[in-house]
Amino acid sequence: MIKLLSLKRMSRLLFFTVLVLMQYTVYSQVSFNASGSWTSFISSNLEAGSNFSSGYTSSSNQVYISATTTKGKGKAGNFGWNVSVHKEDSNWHSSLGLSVRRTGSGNSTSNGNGGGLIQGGTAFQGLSGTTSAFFSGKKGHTDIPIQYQVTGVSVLIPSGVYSTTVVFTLTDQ
Amino acid sequence: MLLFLITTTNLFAQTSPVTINIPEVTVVDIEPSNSPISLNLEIPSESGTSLSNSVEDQSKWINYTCALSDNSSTRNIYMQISSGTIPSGLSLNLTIGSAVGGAGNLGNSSGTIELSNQPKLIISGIGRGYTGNGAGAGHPLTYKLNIKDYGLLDADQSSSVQVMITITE
Repeated sequence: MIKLLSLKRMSRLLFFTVLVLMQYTVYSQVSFNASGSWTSFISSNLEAGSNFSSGYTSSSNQVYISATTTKGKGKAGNFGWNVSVHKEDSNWHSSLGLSVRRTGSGNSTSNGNGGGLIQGGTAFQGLSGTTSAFFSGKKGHTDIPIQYQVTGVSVLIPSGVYSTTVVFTLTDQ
Repeated sequence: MLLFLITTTNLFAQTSPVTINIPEVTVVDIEPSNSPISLNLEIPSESGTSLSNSVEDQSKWINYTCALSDNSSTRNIYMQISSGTIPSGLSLNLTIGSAVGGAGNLGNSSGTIELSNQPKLIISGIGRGYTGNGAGAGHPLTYKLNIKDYGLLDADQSSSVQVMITITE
């Protein structure tokens, strides 16, 4: 008898758990995308005796980020989100610095529903292997333009191809 | 369980590759310009005394930049007379000074050499580096006309020669 009751209670608990999970899935829809890469060819057109220019900047919209966190229909308000950034080096020289910044707010997808906030990340910030906060927003934004900058380029660095991967991570609030 | 689901956060990661291509570069030039210099034997002030060697010209400098990969060998700079002939009885000597300014692994000077129509090594062992740009940067060059054989001198003889510098592996 005791065992039967326990099974009943467990079934109820399981039922409610599934219910909550379904609600959470419906009401917390998150999409996040970053598209674009950057390959910079340092010019070999150099005056004898001179060093390379130290810094090179990508186009202002080298990468587009889209981020949306929404609740289901009929629910007021939208979740906010944070984007953090770090880099994972595959063949990178320690003298090279890589920075990133947000050059715009992209397009709000809230369709006149108050517009989503987006803030932070407009000044170049250096990247390392440790994740750091980049910018944050609310509701949906597509095509948020991102710009890269590399510093420390010099003839003193061995000529070659240096590559790293920038990782953008969205955390919903 | 409900509390856990409400407070948990989701992580979504996206990646973007970044690649920087640094080329190999080897360039050399003469500063402040390629304009000609003039070297004249000094006329003796006393009869019976000999002509003396020319006054030195120290107006030219060699500048260079080398961007090399890890697998590249060091570079060398050669100089030779590419056109014209040195008047008989004379030699054109060049003294290459040590590098001034710049950064990196700059080359070693060969000291003083006599220029001819054969390439002569003037700076060797240049690694990754740059001398700085313009007169006053890099290696100072001193040209001097020397009398080798008095008997071969011709008072009316004048000549223009052109020198060429080459940087190679």
